[in-house]
Amino acid sequence: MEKILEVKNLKKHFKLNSGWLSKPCYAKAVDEVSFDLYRGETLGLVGESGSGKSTTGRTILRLIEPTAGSVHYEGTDITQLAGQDLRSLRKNLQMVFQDPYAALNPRMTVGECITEPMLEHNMYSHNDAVDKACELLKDVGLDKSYYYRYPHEFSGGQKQRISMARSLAVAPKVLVADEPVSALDVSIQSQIINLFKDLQNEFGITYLFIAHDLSVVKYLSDRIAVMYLGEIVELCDKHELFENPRHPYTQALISAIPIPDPTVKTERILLQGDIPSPTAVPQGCRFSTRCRYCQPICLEQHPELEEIDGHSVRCHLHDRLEAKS
Amino acid sequence: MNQKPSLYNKWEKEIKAFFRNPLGLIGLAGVTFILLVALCAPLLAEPVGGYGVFEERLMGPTANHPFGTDDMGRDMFSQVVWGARASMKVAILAVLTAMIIGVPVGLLAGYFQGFVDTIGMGLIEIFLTIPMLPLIIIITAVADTQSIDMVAIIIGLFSWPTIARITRASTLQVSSMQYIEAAQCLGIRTGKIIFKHILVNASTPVIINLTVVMATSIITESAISFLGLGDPSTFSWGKILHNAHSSGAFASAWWYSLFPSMAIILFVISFNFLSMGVRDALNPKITRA
Amino acid sequence: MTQYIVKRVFKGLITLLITITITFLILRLLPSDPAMMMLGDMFTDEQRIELMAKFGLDKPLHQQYFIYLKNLLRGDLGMSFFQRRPVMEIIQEKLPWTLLLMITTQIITMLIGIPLGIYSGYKRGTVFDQIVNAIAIFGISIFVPWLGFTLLYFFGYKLPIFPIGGAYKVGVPEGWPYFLDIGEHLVLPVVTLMVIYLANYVLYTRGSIIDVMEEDYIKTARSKGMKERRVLWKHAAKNAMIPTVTMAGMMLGRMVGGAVLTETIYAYPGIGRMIYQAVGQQDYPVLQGAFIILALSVILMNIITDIAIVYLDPRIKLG
Repeated sequence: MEKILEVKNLKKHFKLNSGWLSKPCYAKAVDEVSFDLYRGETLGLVGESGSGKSTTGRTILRLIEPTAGSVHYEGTDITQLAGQDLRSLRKNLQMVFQDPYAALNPRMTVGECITEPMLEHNMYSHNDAVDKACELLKDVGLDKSYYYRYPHEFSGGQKQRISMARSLAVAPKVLVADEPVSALDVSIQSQIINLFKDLQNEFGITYLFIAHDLSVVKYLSDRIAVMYLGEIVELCDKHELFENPRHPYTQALISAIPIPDPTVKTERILLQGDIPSPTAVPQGCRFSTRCRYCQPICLEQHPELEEIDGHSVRCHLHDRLEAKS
Repeated sequence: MNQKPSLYNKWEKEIKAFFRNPLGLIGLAGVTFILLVALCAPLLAEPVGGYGVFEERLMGPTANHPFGTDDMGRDMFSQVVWGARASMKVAILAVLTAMIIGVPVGLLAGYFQGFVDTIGMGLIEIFLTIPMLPLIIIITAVADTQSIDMVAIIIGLFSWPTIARITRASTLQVSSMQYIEAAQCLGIRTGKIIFKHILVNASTPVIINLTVVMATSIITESAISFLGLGDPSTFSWGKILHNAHSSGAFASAWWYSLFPSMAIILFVISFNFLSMGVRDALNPKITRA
Repeated sequence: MTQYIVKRVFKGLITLLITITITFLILRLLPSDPAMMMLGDMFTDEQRIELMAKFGLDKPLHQQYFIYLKNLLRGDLGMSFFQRRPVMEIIQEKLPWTLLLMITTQIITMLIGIPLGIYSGYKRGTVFDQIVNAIAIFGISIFVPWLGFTLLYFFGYKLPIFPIGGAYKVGVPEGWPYFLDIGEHLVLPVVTLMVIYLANYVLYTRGSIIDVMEEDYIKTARSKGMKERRVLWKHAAKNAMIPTVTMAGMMLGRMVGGAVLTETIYAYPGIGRMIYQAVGQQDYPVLQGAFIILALSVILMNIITDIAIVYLDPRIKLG
């Protein structure tokens, strides 16, 4: 499979407390994140709030500027681009946002939202753009008569479809979806997830699907990456993840997925404590403060991401642990 | 497919809300009235100037002179009517000046933040610190301003910080919305983002403030003219009051000070009511109720 | 906290410096030669040369600027053209009267206006509130000279209850009669000023309370079964006070300059009237000095207000 996106050693540290008389402290939101994205696949990126997954998505798209690291899209390092080059590149990498209510300009009609980027990049003439917008509305499951309506006239699910139509307007090859269904009712969530699937089949888009809920990600993804406190702690094929999770954090996440069968006894792994603040990252392994298997080595040495047969894990004890399924 | 929405459609909710509010409607009526008087001044009365009829001075309201005459025998009614024209001119000119400077400063400070914002806010704060009336007094005295337009522009030059501050606050709020991030993501040019996406959505508090600035600019101009500064030849309402005060006639000729004062109060109240009507109409909490 | 205070004071000093510079520049924009302006036919030739040297009017602009700053630090605000005595002396005479007028006005308006505004906002929509609101809007639209005139006319001429001008009558004996006399002279000017300030306080506090009452924590307090009065005073009022404190600070800061119109109408010997007369007399040093004092008082009040607010709402210093 061909690599379409290569993320290497991506870092984003936020500087806080920039007073003259106080020491600066950094929130290490994204710390040395590396992964590859293959053309046509869906990579799920999961983690709890504060894990840095949304920041990772935004940094890749340069909506937030990375502190360090590189992102190569089809060979070009996009962290070095500027001006017109960057703007042209944006056509290929798009994002679908979490809050459908905030993601659409309330004073623009649906049609204007969708045609604006097309016209901005001189992709079509005005009339062609209108036709194309109607087509896109159909693709996302909306009637073309919605063209002249305003966003506030629609439900959350419909707004999200409009957002997707807008992102598709520039024909992107990679789409970063930042928790696109978290703000929707559960019954709508599956509709939108299916829409993602259909669009991928039709247009061959590569997805980076960010979510905090493993069950949402399970359906769509080919591979899954698990993030904790700014780092990737596990990355592998979807089936492999659910059958053979190697990182204690992943195991805890999986055990928390509710099983709709009252006869099955679930042994929930409860994590102690809360996720530490990104400003005060623990020494050694970052998960050590909550890990039930914590050993002295976990407190002293920071584990690297090791790959075995396409399954990457960041844990000192991964080969000694038994997987719970 | 529906028809393309007009400007009315865009703001339909707010326009309807405005018309349900008695306060705003009264204000609108007052402003419209004064505007009409100002525009139709030549039709309503002779232009004022020079000296009036000596024998007719300081006469109370009569059929010939519905507002009486002043200490030089000039007709008060014409003075007040033409004063409306001067006042509208001042209000509009001052507001335009304030907007032309204030809105871009606020937008840029709010969008780019960082260094640009520090400079912008610094400027704003300095201007806000300086007490406006004394400074305007000093400037008009020093620069020996003879024209009412200049007075209006000077007033505008000291009103821009209020508008800039409100624009900036509004811009900061809008800039944090995800649709702005989406526009950046889609590769829309920065200029377009600021002047199309942000401006339209940030403008509502600014519009409210515009009407307030118009009201305060008239108060300021009246104060300046009353103190004897500014344009000696234009009969603004403040100037009429200055004449009343300096001629010593105010104690005996109640009509001399009453009518121009009422005009000023009417003007200011109308704009204040209007601004409240607009504010309530644009307030999402109230319109949705 | 200390860091915040230091930063705030520093910002105030910079603002003051810039204001002083602007003042300096404005008065150098005089249409005619400042030396001639100032010296005219008021001084002898020797005095002229002496004064020119003192103010360095013959030196280049930037040197004049530093001499100006130096003099300022010593409290030397220059020499009045018209009265031929130090500006500082004149200001020291006039300032107390203005402060007396303004502080009296502010205290009364705060004591009446804030509770009135709170109660009115609390009873939003009732007849009481609507009346208060309408009167307040009317109040902020009032044109001070007209109000001053009308009051003077009715209570000074028609029914001569109060004196028509000045701050005191000459020749009144010391002690209690003196204070009474001053008080008498204060009544009309204070009432004139009060109207606008009162209206401002009422409207502002009312709006503030209305916003606060909509907040969720008020609903929570009520649903906890808290007595309504307590909800109002303990929770709502305290938070609504924050913008009011800001505004109060602003008003107090503008105290010194805010009375120009009132003092002129009542011939009250304060800074406001001083400015008005100086304009007529083209007495630029006095204008300059007055302006700096004004700016200083505003900056000072702003600093105090900003620091006071942080005590009320700790979130602000982080913002």
